[in-house]
Amino acid sequence: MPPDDLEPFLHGGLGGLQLTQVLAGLGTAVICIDRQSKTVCACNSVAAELLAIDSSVLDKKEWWRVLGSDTQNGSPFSYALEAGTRLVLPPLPLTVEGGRETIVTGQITPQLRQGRDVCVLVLHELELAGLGDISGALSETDTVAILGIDQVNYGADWRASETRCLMMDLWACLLEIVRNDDLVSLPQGNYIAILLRDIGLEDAVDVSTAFLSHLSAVPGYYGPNAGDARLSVGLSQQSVGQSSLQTIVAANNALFCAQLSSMPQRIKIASQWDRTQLTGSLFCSEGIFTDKGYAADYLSFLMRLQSLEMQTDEPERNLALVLNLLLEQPGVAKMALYGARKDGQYRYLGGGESGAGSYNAFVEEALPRTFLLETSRLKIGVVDPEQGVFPNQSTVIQPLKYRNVVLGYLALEYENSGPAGVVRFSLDMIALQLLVNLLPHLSEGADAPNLPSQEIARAGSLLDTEIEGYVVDNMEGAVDQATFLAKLDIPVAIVGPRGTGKMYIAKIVHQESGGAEGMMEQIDCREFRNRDEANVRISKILEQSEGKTLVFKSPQLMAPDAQLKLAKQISTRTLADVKPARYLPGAKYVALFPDTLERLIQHAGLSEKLASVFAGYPINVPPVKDRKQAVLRWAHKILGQESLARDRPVKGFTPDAEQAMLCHSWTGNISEMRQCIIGALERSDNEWITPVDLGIFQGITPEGSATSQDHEPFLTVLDKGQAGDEEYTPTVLEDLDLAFGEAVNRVAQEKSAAPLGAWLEDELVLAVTDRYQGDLKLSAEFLHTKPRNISRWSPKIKERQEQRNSASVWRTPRRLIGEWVRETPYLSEPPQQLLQNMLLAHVTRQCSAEKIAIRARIMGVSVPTYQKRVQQQ
Amino acid sequence: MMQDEQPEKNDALPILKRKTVEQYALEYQQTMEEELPPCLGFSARLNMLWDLAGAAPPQTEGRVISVLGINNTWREADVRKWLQKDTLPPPIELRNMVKFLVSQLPGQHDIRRWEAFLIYGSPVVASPVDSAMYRQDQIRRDIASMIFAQITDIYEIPPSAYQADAVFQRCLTLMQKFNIYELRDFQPGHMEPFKNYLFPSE
Repeated sequence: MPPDDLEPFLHGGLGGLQLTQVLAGLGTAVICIDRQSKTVCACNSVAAELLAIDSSVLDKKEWWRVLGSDTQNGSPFSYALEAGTRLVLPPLPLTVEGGRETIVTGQITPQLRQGRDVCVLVLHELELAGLGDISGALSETDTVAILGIDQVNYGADWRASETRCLMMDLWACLLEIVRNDDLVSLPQGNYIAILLRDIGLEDAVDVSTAFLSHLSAVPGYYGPNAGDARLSVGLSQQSVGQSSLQTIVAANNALFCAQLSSMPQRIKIASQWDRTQLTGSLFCSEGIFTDKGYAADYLSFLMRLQSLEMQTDEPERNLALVLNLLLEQPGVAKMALYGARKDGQYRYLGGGESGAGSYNAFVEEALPRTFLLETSRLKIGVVDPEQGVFPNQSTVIQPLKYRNVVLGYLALEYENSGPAGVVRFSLDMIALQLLVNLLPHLSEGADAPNLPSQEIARAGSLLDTEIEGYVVDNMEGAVDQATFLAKLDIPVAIVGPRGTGKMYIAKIVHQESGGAEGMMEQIDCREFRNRDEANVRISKILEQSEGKTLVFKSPQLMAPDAQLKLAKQISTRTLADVKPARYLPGAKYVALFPDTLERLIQHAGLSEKLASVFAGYPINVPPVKDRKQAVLRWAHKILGQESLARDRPVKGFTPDAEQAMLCHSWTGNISEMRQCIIGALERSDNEWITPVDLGIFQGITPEGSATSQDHEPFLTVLDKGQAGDEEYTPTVLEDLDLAFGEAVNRVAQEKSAAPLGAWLEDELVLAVTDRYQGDLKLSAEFLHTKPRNISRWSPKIKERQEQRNSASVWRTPRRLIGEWVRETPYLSEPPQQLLQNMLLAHVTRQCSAEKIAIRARIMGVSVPTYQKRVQQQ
Repeated sequence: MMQDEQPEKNDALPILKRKTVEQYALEYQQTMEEELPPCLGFSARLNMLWDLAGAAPPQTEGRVISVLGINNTWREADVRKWLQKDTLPPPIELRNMVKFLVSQLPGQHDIRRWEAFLIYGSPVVASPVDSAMYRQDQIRRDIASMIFAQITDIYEIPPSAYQADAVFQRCLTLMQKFNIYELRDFQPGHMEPFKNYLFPSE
């Protein structure tokens, strides 16, 4: 059957026009399928073009061969065809002959024509341009998130334009929270697509929760029509054999299911709002895909407008960028921008006319007469600024509205002799909202308008820069005790898990004892490789200790004889091996211990004599989790320090970020917090630090209502003194082992190509060079290698840095390797071998079903090397 | 069935299943120690008390010899062991030494508590100086005054109903228990317990 010969199957003519011609004119594909033979019996020319098929050989071809396998198994289309039911189709991916992929929507309608039981399939191809670069950039390690809003009530006060405004607001807020590498599409109807780089579905759920929590307050600003609006997210990760587009469709479908499944009411009585809600839901029928696309030029304009980089405190420069871009657009001759002042009047921000290569700026008086006349009427309120003003064919003045408040307006004058047949450039709602978002950057100080997104962010606490010196955190009395002991001649033990701030307490002892700056000497007892080295070094240090505070870090790691010798010298205050006997010079003695002295004597080789020397009145530094009230103060202090060190201005933490930090366990204490904040500063350029930047999500809900912390009952607090202190605390190495296990599990689950073994070695080398402050000789000794090897490895380590740092799966192992290296003594075997063996054990155990090449890839080595290591293990 | 014939519950009092003397004797033999373990940190704490009392020069300036000057019946070797090797003096010597040293300290002190602290240290025995350290801080005394004032104002407690000095000291005690080190540590929820603790009903 030739194409367009479909009329016998359809309903006949339409005002003299053949219906198929009308549909073809609308770009709609029509295909008839015989239900009995399951073959295509007719199609129009648009369908032939869409499906890339030769229609002359179409007849009698099975429908799935024509429409592709995407429509065959489990698609609503195949079920509707089988049941002979009329069905509006959701967006469907279609892979046609030649491999081209597209997305279609439409309707399938059963018909009885000429005695044949047929289904007429009407298909409309949807636009993909709105997805931006997301489709092309998607890889197997990424996750696609489609964020959508539903349950918006359409009515007299709410139309599609209000939805667009709301969506642009959500979009602007979303940009505040996404990571640097993530991609965000412009809103398409009620939807925004987000590409979350290098994270699996499990992490994507956490990140999406943080998104929803961050955005949850925005619809509330728009009044009752949007007050009940619901934000949802659909997530999908590319599986084997799935294309990028199919992944996006899967996320889109997941979002539909989320929107369908969480209806708050199971039984509902009809109400006057039903129609408004239904209208709202009809606007959500196609998700992120849209059937009305932008012209390529206009899309390019939008992308450029979106990516204009605004600088803080440089309004003139920012304005020049905006004017330049708008005056470059075809047909635009002159323009002016006005902004609302706090007193409700409008102020001229700037304007100009297009010129060769650049534009010529105007002062307000030099504006065209039409502009001046119309803007003066706006200024004195003769004309309603909410409505656009169109004084003549070539001039348009558009309000820049935000949540029904006019924040400014844009005046454009077009060239009189524009090219014939070319659509005149004008700004749609998206572009106008993008411009509105830029307005705060185009005027100075008090005149700059505030947008809700900024207000929402300001609900967080600004960075507390008033914290003097260190944080006002008494560490549950540890500071008091340090101050008291500093005045006495007593050796001080400071006891606390890793990263709690023991060295901070040691500094207080030094300062409060009147120690001069630079007179506190740290003796890292992990560095002594044997008894003799320890004895020689310590003797020398003790002899030269007059006026100093000597801080012994982890003395339990010294050889037993060296511990005894030190204990004897301190307890008698007499130098050893000196004749005649001589007292020790006047000094303070401090030792830092990771656990109680009793436990270190029992399990970690601490000599009883040395323990006793320091056991007079040990200072216990509690972990951060036991002093929650100090968490935010430390966080602000550290953020202030680290942002200053990086010359990176930040405003503070969002409320969600503070909530997440309060609920986080901080097993690594202050050190973990510092790593976490450094990571956030490295991962994102945002002014406000969010949970996504920090990578912690405890206590955050999609509804934005932060879960309250559990407060201990009053009596429990009173009774706390009697509580047992036998809580088990894993060592860093145990934590690291667990972290390796989790990382391997995720890599295996997600089929990711992350070379964990290579990253492990990179991280180890970096942590060791950091420990020895770049000293290659000492670093090499610790690693049991030669200094030149470290130099040789450096380029590759740098090459992998970006991939390594951006991978969420590697975040915890990375932190723990750093901690482990900082507290580990010199080992008799190469540390890389110890850690590689731990990782290898997980790989062999968890990935036994995988091919050997995959296991080798995870270890970051070739197959022969992998096999050799397995044999050696 | 008679009541005392009911099957014994798991949480029954130990007296219901008393052991024989032989069993106790065996248990004693199994748990007994041949010698006392050293009192970790005893010498350090004893030196700390000598420092606080200021009755002898620092350790690096001949403390042992000076201590012998205070009581010439002590032997140098013994004093060295007490001050340097965690050896406990005979109980009577320890009592007298502590009594003497504590009497040199300002304020009221419990001799037995100091004695126990010297032997066992913190946290077995709460440090006799903890509370003093906390109370010395002027900022915390100011906070205590504010809490005191707020509570008497909100709950309308007249001055005739309390002894100000005792209430102030109780306030400092509870503040220490609650780890209140600065103003923002005190939360609205603290009011009620503070009121109850500071002004217990008769």
